[in-house]
Amino acid sequence: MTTLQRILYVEDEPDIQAVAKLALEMVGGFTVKVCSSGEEALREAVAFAPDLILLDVMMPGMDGPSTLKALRALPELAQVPVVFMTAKVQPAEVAHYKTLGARDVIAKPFDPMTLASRVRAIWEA
Amino acid sequence: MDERQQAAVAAQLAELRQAYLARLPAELAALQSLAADLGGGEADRARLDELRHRLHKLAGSGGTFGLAALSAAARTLEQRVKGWLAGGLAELDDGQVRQALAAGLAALGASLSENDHPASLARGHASPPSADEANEVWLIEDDALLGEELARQLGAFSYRVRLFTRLDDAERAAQTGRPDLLLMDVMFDEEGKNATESFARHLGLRALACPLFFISAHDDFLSRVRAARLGAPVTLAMIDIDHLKSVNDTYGHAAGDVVISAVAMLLHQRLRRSDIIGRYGGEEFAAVLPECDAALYVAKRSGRNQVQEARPV
Repeated sequence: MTTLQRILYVEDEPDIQAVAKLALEMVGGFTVKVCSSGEEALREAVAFAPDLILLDVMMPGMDGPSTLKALRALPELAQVPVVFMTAKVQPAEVAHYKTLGARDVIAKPFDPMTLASRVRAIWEA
Repeated sequence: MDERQQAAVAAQLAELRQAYLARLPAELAALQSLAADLGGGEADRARLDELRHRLHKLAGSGGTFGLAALSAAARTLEQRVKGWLAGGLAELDDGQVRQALAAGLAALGASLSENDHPASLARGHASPPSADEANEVWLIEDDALLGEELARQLGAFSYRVRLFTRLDDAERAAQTGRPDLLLMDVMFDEEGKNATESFARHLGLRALACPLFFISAHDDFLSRVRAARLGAPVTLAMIDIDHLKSVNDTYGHAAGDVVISAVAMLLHQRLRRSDIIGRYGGEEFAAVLPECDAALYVAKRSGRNQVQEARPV
């Protein structure tokens, strides 16, 4: 398995973006590209060539699930693991996200100190 | 990550949080003015959509910065607005309903605790302790989601939290570091052994001089975490016996022990059955009081003659 280095992070809320970017870059040592919408992610994702994609579920315009579907349609990204981030983490909701093709789900709000290790654990699982 | 890097991250996070708190009043005012513009009828749809969107962001960002009460209140209002958008706006023709929404939005500011207000941050002495002086809690919990949630809640009270999902990891950490409090899930099995048994074999952890808390009643605790997420208050009270030292000095430690157990008995009698109480240190007790937001609750119920002080943590 290749090592996890490049993470595409899709989230519309600028404050959460800043905290997550800090957590992933400074704590995790990852290379992070932040996109503020599903539409932007679709434009940028192929060129960035991420190892893993973190996707907020609730976004205006394209939400997480529809972004996932559109990303999957791009041949370059068909196999890239996608992890949803959402406040809704009841077991049934998590199971539903996994049927959509998500590798796993990270609960929001997340702990900035442990976000990177959580992402790494999902990558290695 | 070494301690210095960790401190650097904590400092940057604190900076982001402070900037967020500084912007918050303007955002809350913008939400209120959106609500004030509602006049009933289909024309409200665009404003409600904007409100729903901004409440959603507020719920998310508030939670990220440890403002659990604000986040929960915003989430509740978001759901209400979402309901109107989905089920027709007729309900909003009623001026009282619009007023209730405005009151709910106005109350968002009140859900910030004293320490979260930018004004109190500016006072300096009231600001949360810096990363260096914050109490460090080690949390040993095998359920990652629950662990993260607990760590986040403790973080909101300015504790530095290190989360361990394995006893061995905590044991290794105990070789070099020492926490102020060790918090451990008792319902956690490692290699077929219950954590309390395994704990006994971890000499580094046992040698720590800090208080050890076990999280027992696992299901009950989960429901409390859930209650906190939904906005139901949980109070953690520290209860201190004043002048115990003079009892010990005058009448001996055996008499002091009688006083401690009498106070424990008293607390058990006076608190509700759903409350949890435990001894925290020599003359201190800690009580977890679900669905209780009155910080003076303990003082009131216990009687001032016996228990002089109850301070929320």
